[in-house]
Amino acid sequence: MIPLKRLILISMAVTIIFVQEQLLMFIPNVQLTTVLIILFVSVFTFKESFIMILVYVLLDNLFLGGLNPFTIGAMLTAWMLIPIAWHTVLGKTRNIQVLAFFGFIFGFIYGFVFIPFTMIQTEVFELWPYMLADLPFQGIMATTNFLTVLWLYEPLYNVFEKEMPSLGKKQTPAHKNL
Amino acid sequence: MKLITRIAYTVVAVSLIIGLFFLLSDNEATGKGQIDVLVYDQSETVVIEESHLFYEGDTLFKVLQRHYDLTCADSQYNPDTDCETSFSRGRILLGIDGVQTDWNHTFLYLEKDGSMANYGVDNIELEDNSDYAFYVKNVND
Repeated sequence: MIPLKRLILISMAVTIIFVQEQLLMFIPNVQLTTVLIILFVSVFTFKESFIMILVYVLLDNLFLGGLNPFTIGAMLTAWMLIPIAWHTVLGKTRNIQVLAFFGFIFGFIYGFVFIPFTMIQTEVFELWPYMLADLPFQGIMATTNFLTVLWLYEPLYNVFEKEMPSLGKKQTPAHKNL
Repeated sequence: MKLITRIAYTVVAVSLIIGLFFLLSDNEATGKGQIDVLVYDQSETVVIEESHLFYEGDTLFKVLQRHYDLTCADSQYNPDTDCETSFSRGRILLGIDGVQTDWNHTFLYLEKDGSMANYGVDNIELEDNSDYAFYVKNVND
């Protein structure tokens, strides 16, 4: 059972992610979503991260996409790769350099995840035109992820670490690699 | 991480992002030629069927703008006859002369020489003797 304070924290995290995304929507693929999800994933447990991402994806699709199952499936799969990677291959690291490069690679992975879903939805099974057309946008997302993690992860994490006791966070070991 | 390392990373990343935006710039014609423009209404009746010349530096949008009253989407996807809002992949064309779409329920579907276009009016290649056909499609079809 998740404590009420933690549930509120998760809902606040979803709100922050959703609102900043709407505010930055006029610049394609430039967003703070990745750095925020990486930040929250490194603070929440895997289960809490899953709830946060599920609610965010549903809310985002309800607001913009009319709950299109192909978009929901692609977004959920792509964003869930962050907590999966952080809890496995990234070894729960908080090293900015590692996270920034992960954010960069994630920008491309995010685009690739959408390809099969889009192919099924549009019934256009031509991989290369889609990949080539999407590559610049993946690059923009990757670069934005890299820069935002590089500059914003540490100060945002420090705020969390400072405020956590009053937000019901359980004891976590202090990070050493920032 | 040292500040100088961060700044160095940032310079490389910003250069990359500028390069990527350059890649997304409009696809302008490198020579001159002639194209056919066909516009179909919702009942698939041809409303416009005309040939137009294009010149070096033209895009399909520029050719269309010279000859027709265009409606584009503004940043909120509302109709805008000024066509000043350009998205990352160029403008979103909502209407040509009397043939109008509303983005939410209908949209203009572009075919080049009978095949679905991979790019929009700002980025599609202008090719001599090609035809560019616009159809009104329902979003849910």
